Amino acid sequence: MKQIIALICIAVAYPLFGQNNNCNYSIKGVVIDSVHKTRLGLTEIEVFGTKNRTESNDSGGFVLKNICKGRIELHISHILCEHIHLNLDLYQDTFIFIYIKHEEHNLKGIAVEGKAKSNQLNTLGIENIRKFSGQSISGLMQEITGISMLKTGFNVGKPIINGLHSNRVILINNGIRQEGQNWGMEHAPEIDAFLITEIENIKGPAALRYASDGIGGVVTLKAVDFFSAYKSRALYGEINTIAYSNGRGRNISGIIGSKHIGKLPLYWRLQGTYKGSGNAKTGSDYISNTGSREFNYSVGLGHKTKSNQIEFFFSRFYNKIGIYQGSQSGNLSDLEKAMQAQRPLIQSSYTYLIDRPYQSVRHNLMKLSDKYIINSVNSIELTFAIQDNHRMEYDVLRSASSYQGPVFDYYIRTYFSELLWKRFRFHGAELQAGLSANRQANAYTGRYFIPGYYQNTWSAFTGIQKESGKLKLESSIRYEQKLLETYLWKGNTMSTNNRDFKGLVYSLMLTYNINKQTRLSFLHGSSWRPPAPNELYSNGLHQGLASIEIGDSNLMPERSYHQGIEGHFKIGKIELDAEVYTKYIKNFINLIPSGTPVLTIRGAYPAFVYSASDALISGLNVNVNYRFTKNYFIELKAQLLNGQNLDQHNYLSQMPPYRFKMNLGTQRKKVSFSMNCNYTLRQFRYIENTDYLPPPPAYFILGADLEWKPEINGRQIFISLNGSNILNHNYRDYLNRMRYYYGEPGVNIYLKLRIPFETLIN
Amino acid sequence: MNIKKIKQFSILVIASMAVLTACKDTEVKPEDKPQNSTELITTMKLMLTDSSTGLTKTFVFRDTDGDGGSGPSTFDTIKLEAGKSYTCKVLLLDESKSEIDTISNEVEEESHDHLFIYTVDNINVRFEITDKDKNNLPLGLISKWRVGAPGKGKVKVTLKHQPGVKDGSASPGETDAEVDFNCTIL
Repeated sequence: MKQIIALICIAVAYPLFGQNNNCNYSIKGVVIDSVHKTRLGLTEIEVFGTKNRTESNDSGGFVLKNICKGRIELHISHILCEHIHLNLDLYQDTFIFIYIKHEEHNLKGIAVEGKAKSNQLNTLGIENIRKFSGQSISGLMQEITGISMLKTGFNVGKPIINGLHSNRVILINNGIRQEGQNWGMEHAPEIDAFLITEIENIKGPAALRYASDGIGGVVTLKAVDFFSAYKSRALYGEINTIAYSNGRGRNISGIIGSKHIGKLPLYWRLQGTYKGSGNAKTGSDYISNTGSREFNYSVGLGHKTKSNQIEFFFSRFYNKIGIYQGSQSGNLSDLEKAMQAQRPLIQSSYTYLIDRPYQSVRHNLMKLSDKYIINSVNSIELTFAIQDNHRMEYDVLRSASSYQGPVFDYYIRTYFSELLWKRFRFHGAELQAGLSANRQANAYTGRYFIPGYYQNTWSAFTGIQKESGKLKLESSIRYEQKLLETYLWKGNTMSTNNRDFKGLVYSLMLTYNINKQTRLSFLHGSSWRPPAPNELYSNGLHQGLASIEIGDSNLMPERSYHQGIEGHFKIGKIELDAEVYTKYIKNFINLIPSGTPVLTIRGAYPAFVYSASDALISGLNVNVNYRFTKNYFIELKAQLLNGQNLDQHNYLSQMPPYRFKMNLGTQRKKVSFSMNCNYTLRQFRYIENTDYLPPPPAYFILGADLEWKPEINGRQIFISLNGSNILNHNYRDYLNRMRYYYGEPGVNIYLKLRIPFETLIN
Repeated sequence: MNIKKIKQFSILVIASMAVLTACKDTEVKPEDKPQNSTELITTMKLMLTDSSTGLTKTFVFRDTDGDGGSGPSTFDTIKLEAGKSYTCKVLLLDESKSEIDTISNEVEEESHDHLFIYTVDNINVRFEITDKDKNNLPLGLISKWRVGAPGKGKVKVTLKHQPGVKDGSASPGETDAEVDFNCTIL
């Protein structure tokens, strides 16, 4: 886990002068922040297992007295760091320097944020994010075992965690819960993948700090933390350029930042990205109108004193995504015709231009947070955020005199505030408690899909974490209350509906560190999710799917009970991370066929209603890494899951099929090369006659990555050549909602250039 | 770079961000009545004029709240007389708005992108499209119906939107309207 930076501690012991009494020795010393090269106060130094402890003063100095001769263990802890243990053989009064890596990754290390340290299974770090750069944010998340992607065509994807998606997956974008058109399946998270340097699928009690409705999961996405990464008088930056063959895409992204010292110590970071591509090709055909554009920028500013840390963050995301005309409107017989066609009905060639129909989303996020360290054991953190999401959909025009604007325009504005208190060293435990409030307004113009609403949420949360010997116990509870006020217009009359929901959720995790190589975690928890506005009130046609979706305003919240065991094992050169889990979900809300078709002016459509049933999802995620020589490695990943509808004794639809991935490679100083393959089985667990087409057959695709790191004028740059689907296989994916119309992208060759720089400035 | 510059720069950035966030392009409230300026076909009217008598009968399909919601409020059965011929005119309306919009005017305007298709199921009616678009391809807003022996069956009227792909055949494009009327020949 990247953010749990292992503290590096170098202790240099100087013998001073001898003493006779066995328990009358002293240790004097200085605590030094190895990152900022400054002396560090407020650090507790304790003779482990005794009550003998002290705290370093402002200049880092400390004295520990009355210590017995022989082997002792010092426990060193600082509010902003992971605590460390230090073994000393004491036979004299001693003076030591303690260097601790004071990285304060978002005040990590404190309280309930610790989790099972199986980095490979739950985290995607900077190296992999760079390797897969050019992918969408969901494409990156998919590299974490257990996460799949629900796609709509080539350019829209959202994460599926262990079979669940949309409202059941919570994304935390730089500390703030991402609020967009989350319910929509054709919605993609509005986050710039180039800004993100770490992605983590948070499991267990740590997730409850952010949400109680993450039944599928909670994923945090973070940009580089300038407070820890930037040193004074240096200018940091990076330029990424990517060109790729399929769709003739081009990406350019740059980031620049620095820490300025002086009268106003200021950290700053500016970042921007442009992405563009034209019509992309499956194994055999160009698909018309599948180009996309994305333009994003963000600004981060920070100010830090010894005890206070203020951060401002603003990001703007804008995209425009073409939609294949053949998938829009039409009726059931059009859909049948499209499905029977061996090749896409609309023939196309390459063009960079995007025509109607297309969708466009603009998302602004602004955040202001303040972390204040009250004393050596207490800190508080106050956060405010505003998000604006505006989504527009443009259909094909009938004539020049037709209405030119979007047919459907959604605005979501969300205000968020949170107060978090962290208590360090509380009877040997770490405590954390918080209060948060959230107000959301949703309005629309154009075609009805869900009503306008106000949603007020408030929650209280507390968590505790205690470590004792080889055992570590974490637990959290969260209480949440939600009031949903909807405004439903029918002609000229409006009806108001109020629903309020209350729920308590909890999570427990016990980690047993058997030895340095082996670790087991046991997890049990419950989550809760009130029905979303679309599940309650949608009533209309889903164009791409030629089906009518009908909400049920009487639905009750879902309640899930999660059990999991996660293990980390290292046997020789083999490293294994595995997770087994079951999720029992009461009142699981899903779309089921109503059986009676709905008659419209375009003919009869099959209707689906949102209804609740009990469900069970169980699965296994495995990562194995075998480094057979110093330079060669093989990596295997498997993701298996089953979803059952317990009431109807059949399968849950749209569950990810079994997937296996293998990555075989070599890493050398200047060059690395790897081949990867993805084998996805056919989803045979589906209910016949509830889908227009049965799940597509299993597929096997191959990719390769070559990276070269030359040094130019003493500066390292990174050039890479990546290929995906290099055999140009023609296949369809069960989790792509456009699979009725066309297949997955064919061969795509990426050429990437990355130039990081770090320059001294005066 | 000096402090002043950075300070000025950051103030500028924060100010511009504040402005950007402040000016939301449209201030729509959840409780506001949604403006629906988009086009919807809610009504199909078939006006059948008896060639011998000149009398016109109108048969209607009407679903004013669009797809989903409540079902059609009017769905007539077409009644024809055996052995007669009729001239059929199609009228498409959007009756969901306070000001009724005549969609068939737009269809006529963009006739080269549209095509009506008439098909029967188990009934003796023959159709002939009598109007043409600017490319001399059939349009179908006006057609001639020749009625045979008495019976009961269905007549399906389909409007295809075929922007740029119209070739006179039914196959290209997407369906904008498709009403399968019950039909009785007396």
